[in-house]
This record gives sequence, C-alpha cells and structure tokens, in this order.
Amino acid sequence: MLGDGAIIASSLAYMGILFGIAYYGDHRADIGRSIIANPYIYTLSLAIYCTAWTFYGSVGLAATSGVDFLPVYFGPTLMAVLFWFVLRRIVRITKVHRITSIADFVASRYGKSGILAGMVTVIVVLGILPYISIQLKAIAASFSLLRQYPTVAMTTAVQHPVWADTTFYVALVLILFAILFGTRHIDNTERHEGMVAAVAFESLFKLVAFVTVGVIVTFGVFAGPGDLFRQAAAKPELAALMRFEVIPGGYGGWLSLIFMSMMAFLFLPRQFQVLVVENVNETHIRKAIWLFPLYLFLINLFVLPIALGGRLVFTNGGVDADMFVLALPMAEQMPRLALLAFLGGLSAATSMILFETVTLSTMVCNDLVMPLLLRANPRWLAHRTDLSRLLLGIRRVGIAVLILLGYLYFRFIGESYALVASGLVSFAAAAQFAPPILIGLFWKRASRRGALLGLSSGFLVWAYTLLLPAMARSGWLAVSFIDHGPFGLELLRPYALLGLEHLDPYMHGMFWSMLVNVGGLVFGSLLSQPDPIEQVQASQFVNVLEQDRHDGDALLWRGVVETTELHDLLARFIGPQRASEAFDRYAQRYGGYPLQADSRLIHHTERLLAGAIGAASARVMISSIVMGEVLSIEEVMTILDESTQVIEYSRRLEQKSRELEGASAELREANNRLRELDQLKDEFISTVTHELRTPLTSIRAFSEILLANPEMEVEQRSKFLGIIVKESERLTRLINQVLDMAKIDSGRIDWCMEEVDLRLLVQDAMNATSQLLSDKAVTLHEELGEQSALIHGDRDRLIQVVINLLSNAVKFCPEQEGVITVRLQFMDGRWRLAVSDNGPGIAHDQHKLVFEKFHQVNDAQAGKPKGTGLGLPISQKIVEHHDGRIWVESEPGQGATFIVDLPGKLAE
Amino acid sequence: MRKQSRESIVILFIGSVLGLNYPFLDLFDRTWLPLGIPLLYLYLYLAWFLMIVLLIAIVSRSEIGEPERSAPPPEHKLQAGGAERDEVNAGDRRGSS
Repeated sequence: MLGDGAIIASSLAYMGILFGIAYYGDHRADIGRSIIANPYIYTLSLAIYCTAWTFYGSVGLAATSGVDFLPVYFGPTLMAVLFWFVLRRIVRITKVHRITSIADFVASRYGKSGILAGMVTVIVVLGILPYISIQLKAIAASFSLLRQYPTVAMTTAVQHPVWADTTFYVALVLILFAILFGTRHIDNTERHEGMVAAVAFESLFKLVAFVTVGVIVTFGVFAGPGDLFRQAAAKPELAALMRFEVIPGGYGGWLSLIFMSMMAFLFLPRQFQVLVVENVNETHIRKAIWLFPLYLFLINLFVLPIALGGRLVFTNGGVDADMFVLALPMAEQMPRLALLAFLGGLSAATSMILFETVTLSTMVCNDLVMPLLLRANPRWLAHRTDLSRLLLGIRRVGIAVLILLGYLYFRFIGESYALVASGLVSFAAAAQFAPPILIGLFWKRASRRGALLGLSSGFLVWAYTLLLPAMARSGWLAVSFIDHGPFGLELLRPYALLGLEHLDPYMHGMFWSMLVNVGGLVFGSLLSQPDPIEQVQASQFVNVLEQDRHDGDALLWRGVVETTELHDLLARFIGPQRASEAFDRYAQRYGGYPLQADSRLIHHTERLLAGAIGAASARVMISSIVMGEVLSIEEVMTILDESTQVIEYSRRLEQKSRELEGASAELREANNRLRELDQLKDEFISTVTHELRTPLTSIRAFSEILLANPEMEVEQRSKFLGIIVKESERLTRLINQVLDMAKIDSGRIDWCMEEVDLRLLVQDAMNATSQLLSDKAVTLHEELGEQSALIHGDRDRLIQVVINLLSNAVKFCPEQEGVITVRLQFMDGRWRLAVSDNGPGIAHDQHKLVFEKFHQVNDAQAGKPKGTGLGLPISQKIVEHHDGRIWVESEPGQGATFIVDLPGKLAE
Repeated sequence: MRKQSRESIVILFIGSVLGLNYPFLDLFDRTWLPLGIPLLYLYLYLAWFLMIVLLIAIVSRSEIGEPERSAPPPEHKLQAGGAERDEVNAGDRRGSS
C-alpha cells in the first residue's frame, strides 16, 4: 500500500504546504503584518538546530553509545542560559550595524576587513558541506528504506545513475524552493520572513512526528518505558548502553562535545541567521531562554526508548541504527506512522538545507564574489547601472552550486560515514568562530591581525585533525595517514598530534585548534597596532549596550560628496525604487537631505549598502566616492566616549543632587528647631529675669523701708521681714529649679531608688501644699483608696512631681471656687495618679507643648505667665526615669487633668 | 535584567556545567533501574528538566521587575523598513505584555 507513488506524492504535498506557508509569510511581511514577530515562532525557528542528525542520528548513536548523543543538546541548553549576556549583545550589534551574516559580523568587528570576511566564508563552506550532505543522505536512506515496505531491509549500496536517483530530484526541488524564497529581492535587511515561517512549521512538524513515533514505540510496541528498559537490561550487550563506559570519548570527550555544541549552536551560519539576523525583537530572546531548551528536552525524550527498542526488535543487526525511527513503525506494520516518520525526517533535513544554503550563498556573494569582482574589474562594474540583478544572480547560482556540491559529497564521500560523525566535523569548524567573536565582544584590544592569525591557524589545525582523517576514512586518503602519520611521521598523526594520545578525536581536535586559535588571536592582537577604523569598530562593538551613538565609523569620512552620487551608488545595488524609498525615509526623519552629503547621510547610506553587500564591500564602495578621513582617531574615540561619559555623569549628578536635597531638608528642619529653641530660650530668660526681679524688687523695697525707718513698730517690722523671707524663699526655689533642670539634662543627678508607698507620698505632698491651698481657699477632694500603692522609685523626686502638679493646679484654680481632685487607681500593673482642677483648661494644641522646657501656657485672663515653665518638664523627666508616663487631658474651659502613670504593684 | 537575576543566571550556569559532567555523572553511573529506568538516564533527564524549570523561574521573576523595553535604537527602526517594522514591534509588544 506504500508505493513509490504514495511516498513521492505525500512528500510533494508536504513541500507544497511549505511553499504555501512561505508564500503566506512573505505576503504578510510585504503588507506589514508579520506572522513571525512573536517569541514562539522565534523559538521554533531556533529549532532548525535539530536536523536529520537529531531525527535519525541521535537514535543511531544511542543504539551504539548510550547517552553519547546528549551533550549535543546540553550545549545549546547551557548557551540558552547565557543568552541574556551573549546573544542580546550580538543581536544589538547586528541591528545597529546592519550585519547580515556571521562573516559580516567578524569582518565588521575587525575593521570591516574584507580578507577576514572571505576567510570566514571559506571555512564555513568547507566546514558545512559534509553537514549538508548528511541531510541528503538521510533523505536518500529513509526513502530507500520506506519504499520497500512491508519488508524492512537496508539496500546494499546499489548506485543508481544520477537521473534515476530520487535524492537528486529532492535536491532540485530544494534548489527551487531556496531560490524562490531565499533570493526574492536584494533587501537591505537580508531577512526572509516566509522561510522563517516555513522553518517554524517544520520544527513543529518534526517534533510531533518524533514524539508520536516515540510514544507508540514505548507504549504500543512495549508496555511503557519500565518494560522496555527491563527487557534491554536483561541483555548484557544492551545493559552496557546504560552505563557511561560505552561512550567512546569518556568524560573528556563528553565535556568537549558540550563545548563544541555550545559554540556551534551560536556560530553555525544558519543558527546565526535565525538567532540574530532574523530576530525581529530583542525581547523575544527572553522567552526563548527557557522555551528552546524545553523543545530540545521534548524531542530527545524518546531517543533512548526508540534506540533500545530498535535493538530489541532488530536482533540480527540487519537494519542501520540510524534508521530505527522509520524501521520500527515499518516492522510493526504501521504504514501511516512510518510515513509520518519519513516526513518528519524530511522536514528536519529540508529546513536545514534551505536555510544553510541561502545563508551560505549570501556570504559567498557578499564576501567572496563581490569583493573579487570589485577588485578585479572595477571599471566593468562602474558601467552597470543596476547591480541588484547581478547580486541576485550570483546568489541563485550560489544556492544551486552549494546544494549540488552537497549532493556530490554525499554521492562520493559521505556514503561511508555515519550521520553524527560528519555533523561533528562541521560543529568543530563552526566553533572556530567562537574566539574571534566572543573575545572580540568583550576585549577591545583584539585586532584584525590577531583574528586573522588565530582563525587561519585554528582552521588549518581543524582541517588536519578532523577533516583529513574523515576523508581518509572514506577512502580518499590512505588509512595509514591516520595510523602512522603523513610520510610515516609518528609525531604528526592527526589523532595524536605531537604524541598527545588517549584523547577522543574530537577533544583532541578541539584542544589543538582552540589552543592555536585563541593563542593566535591574543598574541596577534598584542603585537599589532590597530588602525583607526579597527579601533572605532572595536569600541563600538564592546560598548554597544552603553554607547548611544553608533556612527563612529562614519565620522572617519570626509563629508564632501554629492548626495546624488550616494543615491546612485545605492540604487545600483538595491535598485532605484528601493534606494529612493530609503532616501525618502531619511528625508522624512531628518527633514530633507543636504546637497552636499554630511557624515550622517554617508553613514546612513553605508549601512543600507552593508545590508545588501556586506560591511566590507560597502566600505570599499563608499570609499571609492568619498575620499579621505576628516577626523583623527582620537577625535572619533572622544566623541564616542563622550556620550558614554555624559550619561554616566548625568546619572551621578542626579544621584548627588538627590542626596543634597535630602541633606538640605534635614538641615532646614534642624535650623527651624534651633530657631524655635532660641526663641524659647529668649522667652525663658525674660521670664526668669522677670520672676527673679519680682521677689528681688519686693525684698529691696521692704529692706529700704526698714533701713529708712529705724523707729518702725515691731509688729510692722516683723511683717515686712516675713515678706522678705518669703520672697527670698521664692527666689531660692526658682534658682533650685533651674539647677535641677540642668542637672537632669546633663544626667548628673543621683537617684535614690527604693520601695515607696505612693499613697503616703501623695498625702505628704498634700500636707506640704496645704498652706498654698488654704491661701486660695481651694477645696481638695482626695480619692486615694485604702491600699498602699507600692512602687520602686526616688521618694524626694516623686514628692517634687506631686507638689508640682498640685501647685500647678492651685495656680490655675479660680479664687474661692477652686476644686482640686486627687485620684489614685491601680490598673493593669500600673498605678495611675490623676490631679484635676477646674481652671480654664488647656487647648488641644498645647497638650504636648506644656511639657516643653520654658514653655508656658499664655493665660489670657492673667495677662502674664505664672510659674517658671520648668516644673512640668522636670516632672516629665523624673516620671520617665521611673519608666512612667505623664500627660494631660483637658478641654478648654473645663479644667485640666494631669495624669501620672507608674509601674508598681498592690500591697500584699 | 536586574542584578539579582544576573547572579542567579551565573550560578545556574556554573551549577549546570558541574552537574552535567565528571565527577557528578560518575555518582549516577550504576546498574540500577529505579522505576525500571536506568539511573544514569533518569538523572540526566531530571537534571535537564530541573535546569529548564529554574530558567523559567529566573526569567519570569526578572520580567516582573523590569518593564519591556523596545530594543533597537530609534534610528535603526526607521532604516529597517519604516512603518511596517514599527507596526510589527508595536503589535508584538501588545501580544507579549
């Protein structure tokens, strides 16, 4: 029921759906309603990382080496953790500098170097061809397996002629697709929305296909994972797969695989394209940080069950483990599931081939062919008015050539090699870009010469330790090259360079290539003197998140060129219509453009051009019409740094001024308080002097009378002397209070703490003031209770408090009708003494103030303050020393109640 | 991203590198099948899953503390295709906030 016709028809139908999605995506982009501008599509497009290698190869590897396939997915997961530090930086730089590929990125960082861009392109093409070929191989193998349904058998390499080989036609369809959607027009952003949409769909499709096969194998063919693994564990050769020993590289190989895949995930050309160039919005990275690892987790969840299940089902070893995903459904007589698996593998392979070749062809065109054309025959180019067709032509030919080369590699070299092995060789090649990019992102000093040196030596070592041995294994070189080294030189054996043995080949290759790569970069940079454009670019790349102007490279141009010349130059590469549109947008933004282009317009044009033909070529083109450099490197660097510094300064200034504001507010408050105190002190002094003067005046007056009248009657004289004594006592009391206050304030007072009966104490105080009361004819009510009120305190000081309160009350009581109530109560472990009068009362706003030093309630009736203004403050100090509280409750016109609350206990 | 989140990310990265390598792996390299699943497989997948859960926690926590910011500088937006791009970004912000 599954004939060639059905398989081909469903494959074509699948490709048709892809065409539809890609067309729809491009259409939506054209009318400005992008369907790819959301984090989920972004994340799915990253899953282009999972190629046929993942779909078929992981199972194949797991069936022979257990968990050895996992590091390839741990690497990207670890890289995802670092996305926010690394990827965000790269994306920002790419958007600011209009970078369109990884070659462009490296070249831009190191002073828009054309040589560097070309070198990266060469490495990428050589490194990626095996990778493309394994995708074609996977399609071919899966097709030849599936077409024999219901028999499950691997065809022994019967080489069909090219025209009868289905893979060839698959390659042709892919070329068509890539050309249609990858090279629609020369865009100044180099983004392909339709293809991204198609890739996202393919990612979803391959995930669903793989997980479906996994679930059915695990739960349909076997009774769940437990059953499957127990059956496998019963066989010694399969039980070994559950341990670590079975991994060829050991722990070292494991670690180097993690590192390699971490780097490859960022720096494989197609990964760079979807991660960075096709990124619509930086914030999408945020979601991808966890969503992408989750995708990897899901697609790997059933690798081990399928691998071990395959080993259990195909005991005779007649089926290649790489094809278990397809072979298991076939063996279980599930044609539809087998077809789904086949299409899943097809989608994994096609998405990779499409994006990789489009990206590569752009790089080949921008960084190899165009610079060579510009160099070799500038005059011929100068006569052509529209170069955009030429660019498109180069790219289209590039795509066709690359896919066909991949096909040839697969036909003549790749056949003998497992999927994973060729993939890893490509990974190691991509990892060579890690030092120049990552170090270049954070180390300003890294220079072009260093990058050239490091990259070229790293590439040579990679080729020698990984690529050549792979070719030797395929029979294109003598195998003795691996075992005994070239010309029998044992020291140069590619898997044991300089006698470094016992390492896994990949770890060995990574170690040597990274060593010379990083070493070359560092030493080359330290030994060379970078030129201006290098310095400017380095500074702009390293500080991309801090600096707010990104046109340092344009400041190096002298600003004298006709605007029309710039326009014509742009029009030749991206077409007159697009060029005019771009200039119109510029005019809208900046309100027209000058006839003589300024550095901003030159910069704008250069960036637009860079989007179409790469930074290095764009610089060459611009420099052909704009000559010379207007600013020195020092000036440019100052301008760039200034903006950074200005931001920093203003930030610091703001902080300082905030601090200052806070400090000045505090100062203002302190100043107000001081003024208030000063005023109070003045008032106090006037009060005190007044109070002192009153008794002094009367003492003096009566003394003078006594002095002037020696014959005064005895009765009269003793009356006068009595007044003098009384006034002197008042004077003493006043002075004592001032002294007391000063003592308490400075803490020099001696407290004599003992068990005191508050009730007795209050009675003593009342006795002491009885004269005062009767003088004014004030009635005293006492409600002291029967029990003695025990507290811990200083007897004399507390009497002073009570006397003070009583005399205060007397002071404010009306003559003849005064009533004072003294009440003593016990509540909640505290004694509460309340002294109430029926005087004029105290306004609410004065309740707190009466306890302030020198403060006196102005008595409107009396006209002048009574008392010293120190009694209540002293009382408060004393009460607080006893852990008590003193406050006043009063309504104006209804008398005042002073309450003292002290900790104490009831008598036994 | 807040400073705290940056620190958590660095700690998670270092922890993950340690957890997924020798000698940690050696601890779980046993011939034991808890719930019928080989211990090494179980450990690797669980550790992986835990990493993802922690990543979700870190990212979602930092999202609360930081408002969405439009990433590309204004000059670029215009160059990158004028109105159409701007609209894309605006639509996206609506969608993800």
